[in-house]
Amino acid sequence: MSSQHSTDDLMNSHVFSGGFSTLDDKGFQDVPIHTDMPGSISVEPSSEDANVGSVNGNINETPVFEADRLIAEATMNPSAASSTTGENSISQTGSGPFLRIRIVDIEAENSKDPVIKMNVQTTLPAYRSKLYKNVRRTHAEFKKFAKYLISTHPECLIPAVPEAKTSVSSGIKEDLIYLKSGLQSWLNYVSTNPNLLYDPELQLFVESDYGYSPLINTGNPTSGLKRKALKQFPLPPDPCQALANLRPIVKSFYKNAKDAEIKLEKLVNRKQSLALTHADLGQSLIDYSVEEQHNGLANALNRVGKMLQAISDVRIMQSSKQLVTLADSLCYASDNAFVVKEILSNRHILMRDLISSKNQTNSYLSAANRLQDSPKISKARTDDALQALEVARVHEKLLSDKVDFVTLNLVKESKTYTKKTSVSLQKAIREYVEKEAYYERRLLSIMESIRPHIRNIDPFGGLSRLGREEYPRRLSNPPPSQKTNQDAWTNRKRPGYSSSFDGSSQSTFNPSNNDGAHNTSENADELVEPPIGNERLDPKSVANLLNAI
Amino acid sequence: MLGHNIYEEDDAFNPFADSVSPLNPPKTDQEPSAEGVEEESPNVQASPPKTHIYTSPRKRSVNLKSLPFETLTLDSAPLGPLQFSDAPSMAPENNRLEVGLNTKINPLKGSSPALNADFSANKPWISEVNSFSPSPIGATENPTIPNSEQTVDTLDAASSSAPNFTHTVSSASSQKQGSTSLTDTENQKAHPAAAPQSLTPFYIQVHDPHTVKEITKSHTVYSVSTRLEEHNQPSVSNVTVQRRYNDFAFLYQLLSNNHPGCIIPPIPEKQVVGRFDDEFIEQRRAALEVMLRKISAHPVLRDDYSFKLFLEAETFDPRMTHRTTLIESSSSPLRSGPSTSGLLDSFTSAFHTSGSSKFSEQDPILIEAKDTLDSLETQLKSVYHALLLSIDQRIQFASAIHDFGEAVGNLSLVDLEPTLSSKFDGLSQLQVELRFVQERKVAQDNLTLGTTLEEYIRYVESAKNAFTTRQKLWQTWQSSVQAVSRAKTQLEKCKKQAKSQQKSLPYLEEQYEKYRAKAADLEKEFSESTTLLKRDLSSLTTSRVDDLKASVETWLESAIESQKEIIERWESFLDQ
Repeated sequence: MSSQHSTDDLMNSHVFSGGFSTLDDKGFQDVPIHTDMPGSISVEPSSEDANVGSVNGNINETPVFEADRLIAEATMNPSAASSTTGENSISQTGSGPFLRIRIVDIEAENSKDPVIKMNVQTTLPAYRSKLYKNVRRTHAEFKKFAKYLISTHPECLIPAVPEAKTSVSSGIKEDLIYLKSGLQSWLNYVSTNPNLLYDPELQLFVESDYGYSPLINTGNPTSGLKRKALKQFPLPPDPCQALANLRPIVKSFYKNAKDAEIKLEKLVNRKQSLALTHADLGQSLIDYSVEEQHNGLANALNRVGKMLQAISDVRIMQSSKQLVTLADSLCYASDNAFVVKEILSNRHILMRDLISSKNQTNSYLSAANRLQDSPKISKARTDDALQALEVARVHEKLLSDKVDFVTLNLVKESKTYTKKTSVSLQKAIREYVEKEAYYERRLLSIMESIRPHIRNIDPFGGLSRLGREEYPRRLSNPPPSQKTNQDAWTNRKRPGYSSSFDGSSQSTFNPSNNDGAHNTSENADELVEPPIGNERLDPKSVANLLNAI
Repeated sequence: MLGHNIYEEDDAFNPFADSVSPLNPPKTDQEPSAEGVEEESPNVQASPPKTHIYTSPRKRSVNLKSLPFETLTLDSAPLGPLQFSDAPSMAPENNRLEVGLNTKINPLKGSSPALNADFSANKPWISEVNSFSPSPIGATENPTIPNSEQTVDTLDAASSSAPNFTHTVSSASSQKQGSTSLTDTENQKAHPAAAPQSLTPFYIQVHDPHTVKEITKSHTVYSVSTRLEEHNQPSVSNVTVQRRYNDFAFLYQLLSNNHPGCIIPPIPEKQVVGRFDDEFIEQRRAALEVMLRKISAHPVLRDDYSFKLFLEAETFDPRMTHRTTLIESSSSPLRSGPSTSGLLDSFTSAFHTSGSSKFSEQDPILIEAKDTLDSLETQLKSVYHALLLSIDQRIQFASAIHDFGEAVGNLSLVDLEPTLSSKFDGLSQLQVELRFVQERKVAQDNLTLGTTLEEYIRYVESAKNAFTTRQKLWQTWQSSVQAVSRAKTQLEKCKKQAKSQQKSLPYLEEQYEKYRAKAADLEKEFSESTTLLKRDLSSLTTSRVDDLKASVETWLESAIESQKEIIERWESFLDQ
């Protein structure tokens, strides 16, 4: 009778400790953001529970102890892997093995899912070959790979994969240029990160011959509703102040960037509507000029109408540039901020697991202490309690090391993330402002080109000669106010633009009138694209300039 | 420079008129006219033919403007008879000089929104007109007598009292009757008869709008200030009265009834919703001021008694004005026409005779002008509608800029990195400034193109109203002609009867003569209204071209300056 009681206690103890450690092992390894197959998650734990039950069904004591040892050995492996990773990172910084991925071309038959061709060069021993040519992957496969990396590497701030096309569908060549630079930047991050370099999925991504699909199912219990429920609890105390401050900043940055992008799109829509109404106004003026009986006024109104239509065309082009430069950059920044926010949340979940593990260790410790104070000292029970305590301590240390590792990496990567985000957005802002200034200058050039037609409505010369009627009138056109390096209305030097626009130089701001030619019969096409005039110092242009001064 | 020196000598000519010898004046007159022709002829040749056609109506106005100084010179100089012999050779040269003056006058009308420029620019023109006064000295002696009478009338009109006005009307009617006997050539010379009034400029200002609240409803009252400068008198009279919108509308009706065929400068449209907004009141004040200025610039309307009452009387009461009009009708034979027409209408209705006859325009010029007005109205409304849509879209565009600026401002508050935050903050400030530029562009579009287009849409409606009033005058004339034929029938019937029944013959003869005189007067009035309508249509075309040209140029220059400011905003951000 007493031996039967001791046997039952022993069996209960094994069942409890084994099940918990199994779940914990799966928990800290797989912490994804999204999961596609929640149904399969519930199947695995139940099957493992059945296995544990079947093991405990045997009356023989020796297999039970062997199972405990196997679990302990399994938990030792991750720490060994992490130490191996540390050694590899040291060798990596010392110009060790490398992996280089270069995008060669992008085929865009399917605009939603283009095909990216890459050349891969590596010296890692795990790879079958040192050079892989024309590796083909679709954009969707890139997204799947990124999703796997985000879910299995909580210590890395994986950037978001850029979208397959920009906000403006027209201009496929420009879209591919942006996509190519974005994906190249993403691949550079993945191939140079020491924590990702030895991931077997990266090798599979490079070497797979028939497309790519992640081998390991990234589903995990902490996703969907459970993840939202966990987020409702107060945050665990964070020893790292930098990361504690970073998450609310990144979250508000994500929200505001999304809002700014939406507002910018609305602004661009309004500008396009304004351009269309200006085109209609121009057409009305052209129709009115047909009815006008005064030749000078008819000609002037016709020119004003064509000018308004040309301005409308330039504004529509300008709005497209606005979307490509700043709206897409804000959208990408908000996507990146979202990923960063979720990765920081993953770290909080790890810390919460660590706290649970500490509580469990303390409960085992108090149980062991109570056994020592018990008057009836049983050797078998004491051994069981001590073994459970040892297992819990090992698990706690494992989690603690993982949290420390994740924290150190995230602190380092968050600085890199902040710097890169700042640099890329500042570059996008500057590019946006430069394009805006460029197109506004084109509008000014178009407006000034019809000044002579307005002033030639009658022989008198218009309002500009009010009070100067007794002076002889110059029949030459007024000079343009935009010169190569200096504008007529300000003494501020024109800032140098960082890149040329549409392959045209800055001299497009000077109409051809500056060459001494009087093109009074310019048509709408010439207004849209002012001809490129060279600064030739011929006597006519010098005389015009001196006359203007 | 040489031309200016000669002009200065001409200015010095007047004070020494008594001491000039008989041989010097012809030589002095010939030299400035020759130089003037040489200077002005390139402008005339450079202008297209249509422009020349449009400037021709102003020959009369300039010719009219220059005459009173001629009168003064003739009174002061004893050389009138000698210069009379030189008149035929001087006439064509004077026309060319006047053409030059016409072209120079253009920007004054175009600059009407700029009050300061208008005031400063007006006086030099008057002095230049003085410099040309010796040229028309060659006019014949015959118009001298009516000119002197007109001058006296002008002096009387300055005092602006009712009895003098009656006297003015009597002298004007007698003068018109006298001019009927003149030939066409003399009739052209008689046009200077109306000259003196057009030279005295009215400075009219509509200002200080304030809302008067009553128990049932409120209305806005405007102050109308008039400053009248007489070059013959050193004194300047200032009159300020209070007027409301209904008074302006009533003035429009009075002028329209008193001058059939005349295009009255239109009033702004009546509006019920939002009529006490500051922006709306300011726009209406500006439109009312433009209306009064254009009435004062019209050679016929400026002398209307109702207009003088509107500018000077303390109370512009519709009933009082109506009684005054009746008094005028009873006192003057010219004004009694409409009341007599009323009697004729009642007389006709008693006999149940159908007097309605359809009016068909016989004049090809007016037929073409009517069609032109219709197409012009369609085009103006189309452009104005497109402009309003554009302005509305720009308002929404400015609002979107504001929203985007706010969103970027929120981004700058997220201190992800200080450098990035400062960039976002700069971009947010930039959006605020661009929004102000867009809002100012909305005001510019409204005040330049919008105001002018809306004004001439109303002007076209006023021109159509002038056609209508002229048509009513024609119908009145036709009724009068029918009355004459009926009276003639009765007279002939009476003559055929026995002598014993011819006691009413003198009465019938008197009635017949009376009706025939009325018909003749109405026919002359219709002919005058036709002439007036043609002249006003030409003036309307000219002023429309001038105002549209000025508004388009102002609109373009303001758009260019706004564009430069936008460029400065964007590139100043790049300098940070």
